[in-house]
Amino acid sequence: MTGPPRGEPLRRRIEAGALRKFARATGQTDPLFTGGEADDAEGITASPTYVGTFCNDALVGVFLPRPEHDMILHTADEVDLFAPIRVGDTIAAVAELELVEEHVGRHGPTTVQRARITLTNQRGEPVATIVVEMRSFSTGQADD
Amino acid sequence: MTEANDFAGIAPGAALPELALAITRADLVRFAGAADDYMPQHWDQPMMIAAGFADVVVHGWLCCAHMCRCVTDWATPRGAILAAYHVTYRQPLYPGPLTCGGEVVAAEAGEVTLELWARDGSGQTVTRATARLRPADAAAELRGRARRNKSRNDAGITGSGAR
Repeated sequence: MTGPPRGEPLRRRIEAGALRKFARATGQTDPLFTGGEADDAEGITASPTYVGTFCNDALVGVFLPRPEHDMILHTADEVDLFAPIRVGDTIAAVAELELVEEHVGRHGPTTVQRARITLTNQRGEPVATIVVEMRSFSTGQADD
Repeated sequence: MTEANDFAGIAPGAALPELALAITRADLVRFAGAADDYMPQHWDQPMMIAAGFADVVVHGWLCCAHMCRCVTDWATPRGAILAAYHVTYRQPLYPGPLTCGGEVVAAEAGEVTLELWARDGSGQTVTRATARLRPADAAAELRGRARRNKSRNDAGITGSGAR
């Protein structure tokens, strides 16, 4: 089952502070990702998993709601990187639903949903594709 | 032994130096802010315990970031860039010790493939991944290929030889 692409892409201008903060939060020490002590923010490149920061906002309204499920877990990511993200870039993210499957797992009825997010920069160059997989199920707590 | 900036010298069987760290609740808060990821699974401990989990769970992307750091710390001095990673979060990872590692499983045609793992404090493998490396000087060529593919897709061209 596949849903329609979202209309307007999410757009973000990349700021040095955001890249530095992400690098610190993920333990990076490489000056390529942290900027080191340099004042020249132009040289900072996003570390390889920074692309994941687009997911939550880009996926709003993409996964099908499952109101009977009170738990959702992130179960897989497939990322292909084509171009670096640098300070001053404007990145557009478009997400579309790729797959919805129903299973009966150890948590009972479980829904697996997979969405593809495509990132492009201000020059129209592909930056990355990200396939995110989530599983949702009921823990039974809602019945208490 | 692989020398610095010697992508061609990377061979199957080479092991990445293990990366060992401890993930704290403060790390989860820091990552949530940096990644704009405020899902309650990562901060609402009463909710998670009531749902049958041992604790809040570490963001999958944070575990993935440490696994990729294990790769880039080793690969960058060898003239390699990370071109792709496919990650499966097999078990919940809770705050505490985390060890990441991996091994080169293939090296051919200008591409290196690694298998990666992340283990929790009990030694259980909670996350597995594969990663692909390319020579750093292949990055521009890769971008050009992706741009050409996008142009072809936008134009609806599927035949061979189209530019």
